[in-house]
Amino acid sequence: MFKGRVLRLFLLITFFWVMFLAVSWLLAKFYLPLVRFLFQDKPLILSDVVTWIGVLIVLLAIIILFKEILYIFFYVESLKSSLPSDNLLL
Amino acid sequence: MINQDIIIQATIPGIASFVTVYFLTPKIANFMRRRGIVGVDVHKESKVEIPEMCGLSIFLGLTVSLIILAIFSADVLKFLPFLLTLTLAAVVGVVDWFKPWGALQKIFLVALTSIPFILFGEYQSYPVLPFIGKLRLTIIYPLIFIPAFTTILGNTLNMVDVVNGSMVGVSTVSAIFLAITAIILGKVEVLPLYLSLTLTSYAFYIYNKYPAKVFAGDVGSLTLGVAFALTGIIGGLEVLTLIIFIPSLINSLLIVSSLGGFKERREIKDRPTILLKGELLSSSLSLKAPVTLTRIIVAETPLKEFEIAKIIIILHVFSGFLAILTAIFMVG
Repeated sequence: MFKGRVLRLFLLITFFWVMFLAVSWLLAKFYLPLVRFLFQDKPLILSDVVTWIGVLIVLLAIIILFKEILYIFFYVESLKSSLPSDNLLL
Repeated sequence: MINQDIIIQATIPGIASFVTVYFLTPKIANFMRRRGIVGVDVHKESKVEIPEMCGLSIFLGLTVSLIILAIFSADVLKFLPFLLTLTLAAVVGVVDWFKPWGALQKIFLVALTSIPFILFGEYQSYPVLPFIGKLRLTIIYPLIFIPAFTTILGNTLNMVDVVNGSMVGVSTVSAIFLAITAIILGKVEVLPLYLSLTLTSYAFYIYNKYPAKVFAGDVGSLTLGVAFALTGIIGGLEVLTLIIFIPSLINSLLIVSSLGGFKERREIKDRPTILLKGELLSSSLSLKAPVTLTRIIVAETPLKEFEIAKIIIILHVFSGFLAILTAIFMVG
């Protein structure tokens, strides 16, 4: 009865998971080597802070993006809504 | 490797916590009912009153398992910071029933409960991210990450305690999957803790599943959430813990963003769902009602309460498989 909505939620969760892994991979492949290269002669703490600021900014951007996607998902689900006529509000 | 000693050390505390919760929960429920500590089950037509704060048995069950683990351990004081933090979380939950905290107060207080663990606990300041590897966070980790992780998980589990059996059901399956990921990553030291969390949650689920005979209250959800956070930190499974709780985190993100900030549930006038004839739950028609995971689940067609709990648990099972896949990537 509710297989459709569960599958759609599975897709949504998978999308979030894939996004998280993809961003991790991109950071590991491009951002971290760049920070290491730019700060190779600087104190270690500085490169750590820059790395973390970057990771936090990306996390924040992902959260904002997820929020928007979730709202769209909710409205799409709501558009399909149908209240059975024999059900009265209690 | 998992040897016989680890299996014994993992199972005895778990079984002890199960027995504690199974036998104490009805007694605590009777105690609460006699003292009028009850809450209305709003998703029932009869508006039946259910004993509140029965999650105290969850705290006691985990306490018993931690004491047994300490006895098994070479260092008896090893689990003391964990226990102190759990105790503080339980106190925050108990006080909340008598004198409700504001939403921000509760977030801040649950974060503060991690102080004993930060000061005396065993953890490494290197969370491991997929592909990135270890991130060095010597200062940020204890000062910001541990309190934030503790309060996020504590309050996230609290926010998913919306229908009978949902919170402890989620907790049971999440602990099972985290135990599997711990085995994959070779973090066997946290297996006894995850087994205790699984059996504690399941023992409570027996009473809290639809139709609920007891409510966990904030004391139960905060204790479990904090226990998940601390176990994740000890085992270095912070990211995998967050992946398993993706559906719950979606719920928290939706609630906070749709309410325009942190609000205590008592401050929310419009409920996200409405009760229809036949005990069916439907999405609220109010524009002011918060958007929640439950509201998304019933947006298309109304569902029974137990069906909603089932979907919420199934979503966490799915996230559990994604966490296992992530753990496999991390090993590779």
